Amino acid sequence: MTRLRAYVNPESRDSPLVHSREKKHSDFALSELGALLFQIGAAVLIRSASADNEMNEKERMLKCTLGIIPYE
Amino acid sequence: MIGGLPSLIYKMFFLQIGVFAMTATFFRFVVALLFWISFPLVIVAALAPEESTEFDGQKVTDFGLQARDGRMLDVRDFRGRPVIVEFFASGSPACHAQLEQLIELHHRYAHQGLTIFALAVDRFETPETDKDVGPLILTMKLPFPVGAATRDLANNYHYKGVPATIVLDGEGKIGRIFFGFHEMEKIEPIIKTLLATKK
Repeated sequence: MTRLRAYVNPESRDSPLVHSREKKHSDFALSELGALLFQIGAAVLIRSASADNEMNEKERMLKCTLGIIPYE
Repeated sequence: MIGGLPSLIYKMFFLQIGVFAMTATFFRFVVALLFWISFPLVIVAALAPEESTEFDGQKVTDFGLQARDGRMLDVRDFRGRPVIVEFFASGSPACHAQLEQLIELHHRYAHQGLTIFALAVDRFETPETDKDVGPLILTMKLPFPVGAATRDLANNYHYKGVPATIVLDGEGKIGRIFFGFHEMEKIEPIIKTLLATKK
């Protein structure tokens, strides 16, 4: 008689192990997707913030030039 | 224009960090995604359907499935009733379809004495997909035992590709071989005949 290895014995603890392994794969991919979305959001915020700063700086320089506010 | 240069440096600094972080994260995400869905990437070609009576009545090697906890499920324990031995590959869509048919057969005839053993050929045909057999069993909710076939055993059962459905009679001899995919209705008659003559 040839002895073969069984893949999953439904009565043993094999099944939950494979389940948790599958879950880890999906969790990992989803967490990476979440991290990517977070990075995109952060980059957009930083970009808009730096654009605001640039406008404020230009506005301040314009006002200084026109004598509305004093040079610091 | 005085504030232009610091502002530009400020922007470039954050842009560089942002681009670097996004590139790294995106790369990791792609790798993770590929890892997650990697098991269907190996596709195994299916055999052309053929119902063979050439080997009917031939004795084949007995086998037993050994679980990790040491228990043995011996095919000889099922003498007197029909047994189906299914050779399949986890990366073969035709095998998935065949396993679906066998699940249906199991639900219909298991209580009458039909026993099904599914043997994956991944270990000797495509070792890189051997890890996919476990998840496939759970995904398809296979209700019958699954083991890893060896080349020698497969040859003894006249294996020449997947899927291969070997029906054994109550004496452990070949009752019929179905090479390639077959609808349940094609396999059912021989099962009914064997169940009618079971001891």
